[in-house]
Amino acid sequence: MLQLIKKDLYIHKLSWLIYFAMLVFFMYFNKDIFFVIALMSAIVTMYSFYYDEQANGHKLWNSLPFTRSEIVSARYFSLLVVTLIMTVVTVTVEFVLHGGWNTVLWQELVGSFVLLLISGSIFFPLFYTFAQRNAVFILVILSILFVIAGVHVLYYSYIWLIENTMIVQSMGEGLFWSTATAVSLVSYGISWGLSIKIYKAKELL
Amino acid sequence: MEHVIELKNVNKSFDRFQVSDVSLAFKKGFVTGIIGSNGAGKSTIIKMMLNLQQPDSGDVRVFGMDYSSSEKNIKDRIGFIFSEDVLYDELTLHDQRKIIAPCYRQWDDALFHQYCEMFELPLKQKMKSFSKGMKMKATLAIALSHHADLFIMDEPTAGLDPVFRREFLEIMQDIMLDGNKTIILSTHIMSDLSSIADYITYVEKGKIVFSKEMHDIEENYALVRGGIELLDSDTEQYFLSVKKTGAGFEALTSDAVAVEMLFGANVVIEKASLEDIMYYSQGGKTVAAVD
Repeated sequence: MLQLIKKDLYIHKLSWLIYFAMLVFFMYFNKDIFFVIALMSAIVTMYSFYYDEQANGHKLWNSLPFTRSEIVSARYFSLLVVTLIMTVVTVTVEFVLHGGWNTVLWQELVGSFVLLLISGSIFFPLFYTFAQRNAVFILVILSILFVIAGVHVLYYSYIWLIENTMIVQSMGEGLFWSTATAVSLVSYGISWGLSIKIYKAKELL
Repeated sequence: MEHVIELKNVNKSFDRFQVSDVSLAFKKGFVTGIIGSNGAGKSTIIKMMLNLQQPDSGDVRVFGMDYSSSEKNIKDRIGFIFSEDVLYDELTLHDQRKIIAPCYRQWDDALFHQYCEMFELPLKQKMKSFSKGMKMKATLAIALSHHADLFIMDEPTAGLDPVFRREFLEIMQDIMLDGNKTIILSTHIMSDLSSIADYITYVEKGKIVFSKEMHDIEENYALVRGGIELLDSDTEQYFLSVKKTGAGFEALTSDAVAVEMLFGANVVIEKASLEDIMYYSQGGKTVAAVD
C-alpha cells in the first residue's frame, strides 16, 4: 500500500513546482495559513483522482497486485500525508516570509485539518461512485470550491460561536477544537469504510 | 493437465447484456484465443478473470486460488495488456517503471531494459508523445518484466499496424518457448490467432459456442458447397448453418469426414477459417474483422 501512496505523490511530478509557487504566492499576499493548507492539500489530493481517471488508473491499479481495499485506503492515507507536507511547507514559508508565527497558529492548523477531513469524508465516496472520465473534472472543481467555501464557513462560524454563544468559552478552545477533530476523524473513518464498500462493488469497465 | 484458470457456471448480468453459464478451463503452457464479435462478451470474461468485474454467480479460480482470499498472489503472477492505454500520459516510461516495478515481487529491471531496447522505447520521453504502437510496446515491456506465469490480453492488437501486429505475435511465440507460460488473449482479428493459438474459445451473445483445440477446428470444420437438391431434412442435420441461394447452398459443418462420406464428389469441401466459422455461426451476418 505504501507504493500506492508514493504513486499518489509521484504522479504530480512537475506540478509540485506549480503547487509550491501557488503556496508562496498566497502566503506572500497574507492569505490565512488555514486557507492555504486546506486549498493546496485539496488541489493535490483531488487531482490525484483526476490523473488516475485520465490514465485508466482503475484498470491499471486493479490489475496490479493490490486489493480494492488497499487502493481506497491508500487514497485516504494520501490525504493525510499531503496535508502533513503542505502544513510543514506552509508553516516554514510563513516563518521565512514573515519572520515568525502568530499566536493562533495551532488553531489554523487544526482548522485546516478538520476541514480537509470533512471534505475528504464527503467527496471521496462521491469520487468512487461517480468519477468517470468526464465527471471526474467536475468533482475535482466542486471539491476544491467546497474547501474554499468551507474555510469561510468554518472561520465565520467560529467567530459567531465566540461572539454570540458561550459554547467556545464554556468548553475552552482546546476542548472545542479537540471535539471538532474527533468528529471529523469519526466522519473520515465512516467515509473510509463506505468508500471501500462502494469500490469493492464497482464494475470496472 | 493443470488448469491455470477455471470458470465454473459463471453468470454476469448488465442492463442489456448478460454472460450466461460460462464454464471454461484454460490449460497451462498453451495459448488460448477467445474470439467473438464486438460485444459478444469476450472482455467481460477477461475482466472476470482479472477480478475487474465480479460474477453474479459461479466460481473463478486462477492458479487454483480464488480472488477473495489470494488476490495479491494471483495478480503478482499475471501480466496484462489492454487495448486502451493504462499508463500516465504526463509521465515518462522511466517514471512508469518507478511506480510499477516495486509492486511486483519478481520484477526484473535488467529484463525491462532489455525489452525497452528491443522495442526501441525511449525511457525519458513522456507517454503522451508515444504512438499507439509504442504505448502497446511499453505495456508489453512492463507485462514481460516480472516473470509472469500467465498473460491475459484483451484485444491487444486492436488499432495496431500490421507490421507491429506481426512483431507482437512473434514475441508471443518467444514467450511460449518457455513451456510454462500461458497466454489467454481475446481478439476479433482472426488472423492473429491462426499462427499462435493452441485452443480457441468462441463466445457469442454472452455464451460459449465452443472451446476446442485449434487442430480439431482445422481438421473438422469445413465449408461445403453443392446443389440445392442435395439438401433435405436429414442431410441438413450435418450442418451448423446453411446458406441457400438460387443455384445451390453453402454450409458450415463441424464434421468434415461425415459430410465427405455422405456427399462424396457431389459437393466441394474446403477448410473453414475462423472467420468462416463465426460468419456462418451467426447466420451469415458480418461479424469478423478480416485482415
